[in-house]
Amino acid sequence: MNITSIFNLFSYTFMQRALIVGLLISISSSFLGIFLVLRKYSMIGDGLAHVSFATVALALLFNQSPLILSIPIVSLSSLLILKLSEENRIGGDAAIGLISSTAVAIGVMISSLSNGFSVDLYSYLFGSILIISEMDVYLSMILSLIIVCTVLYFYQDLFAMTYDMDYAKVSGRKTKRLNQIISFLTSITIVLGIRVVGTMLISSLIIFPTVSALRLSNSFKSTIIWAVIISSFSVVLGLFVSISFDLPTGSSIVLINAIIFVLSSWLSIVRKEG
Amino acid sequence: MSKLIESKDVSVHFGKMVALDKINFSIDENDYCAIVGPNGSGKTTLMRALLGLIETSSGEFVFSPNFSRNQIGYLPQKSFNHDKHFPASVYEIIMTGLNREALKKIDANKEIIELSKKLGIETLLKKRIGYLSGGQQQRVYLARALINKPKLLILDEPTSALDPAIREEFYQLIKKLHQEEKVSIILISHDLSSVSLYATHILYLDQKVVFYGLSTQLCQSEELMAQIGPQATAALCQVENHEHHIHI
Repeated sequence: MNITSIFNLFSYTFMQRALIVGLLISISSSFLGIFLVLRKYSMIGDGLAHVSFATVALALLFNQSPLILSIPIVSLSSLLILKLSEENRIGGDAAIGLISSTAVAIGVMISSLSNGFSVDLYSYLFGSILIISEMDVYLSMILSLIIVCTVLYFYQDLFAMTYDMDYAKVSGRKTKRLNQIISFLTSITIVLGIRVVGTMLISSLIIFPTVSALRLSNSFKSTIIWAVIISSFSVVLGLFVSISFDLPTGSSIVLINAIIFVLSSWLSIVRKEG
Repeated sequence: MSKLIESKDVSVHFGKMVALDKINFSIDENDYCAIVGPNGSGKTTLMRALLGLIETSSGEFVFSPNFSRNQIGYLPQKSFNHDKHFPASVYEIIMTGLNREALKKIDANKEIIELSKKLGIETLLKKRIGYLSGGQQQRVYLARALINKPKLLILDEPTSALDPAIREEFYQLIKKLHQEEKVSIILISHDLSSVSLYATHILYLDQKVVFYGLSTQLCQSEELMAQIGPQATAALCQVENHEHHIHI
């Protein structure tokens, strides 16, 4: 496949949608990633992705839109994870494990009730750009805008909380509410992302770009900017690669992120030695 | 002097373990109160309860009507974020001492520059916090605690990680804040000999209040003698008198 024919692919509606939604997810996940990764809370993305698997199975069983059903259920699960880890003295990782394994069990149970793993469910597990509808695009635009605006508005508070939770409380910040906001925004990002990279791989879009960006940047703000650049680049290149070589889109995006991580780690070592 | 806070029968239990038992003391304006006691005596727990970071099991902290928790500056025992590579500059860290309301009222940039000059860290503002020495970091966290112009500054073992020369310099800095800026101080320490040089009041804690009063009355305390024994009290007061003598 030559360059012209690859570019021609973007005249197809499904590719345009994939590109728009992919870029929106990469921006949203990069805006949130730093607050989750630096607080060692990045596995919440993985846990919520497992919950979204259950909600997709449920939506497909009742022939409903997975996006509409997933957002409230995944958001509620994120709040449940917070509540379990805050009030019942269960560690954050254990709370994520409890919720995510229960959700996967429910998802598998539901899918077995509805003739096992269908093609539809498989495409949500590992992502498929063919399932992105026009409504998904509009919803992604609105929700991504909400995520970016919310993070920008609460930036100073979120930064303070990420650096030192106790001091954020002492300085009069409502840390419980801020935690809920971050969890809710993460839920939305996860649900949006399952269209492109699937429930099994979506958490990597939160973790990889931020971890790579941390190796390249010197400040908090530049880490977010680098994460947006890395994430957007990996999504665009991943789409190209998956179309060009007929490979799964989600896997392509994640593997490109993994390569960028290796390169950025190498660059960071070279810079330190220099 | 008007009262800022009063601790009324404050108790903190962790499960069946009693960390603090009916603690009573008060902090007035311009007090310099040193909270001392052995390791595990509940000093940090008491301050965390006062700051609202942990809940009290019984009792309460009564704040005077013209004073609130938002007017407390806090310098914790440990630097909370141990990740040396955390991508934050000194400027950004000091900025976290200002909440949304405070940011609306003041020119944050001007205040940070002025305060950093006072504390001798103006050249460090763009540097990454994790790459500074222990003494420099401590000044940055002190700047964060002071940026909101607190009426009360709580310092939890602020010199434990500093070498003796920098430790003395730090105590002098706090003394200056107390005397010139009229900031009330609560200083937690296990090093009574150092803090008794500056403190107006001493609260000796060992899960319960062993002694609370003027620092000059500490050595006459029968309760302290009963708690730690006559020999330990004599040794403590000898050190204290000796230190006073040196500085006088």
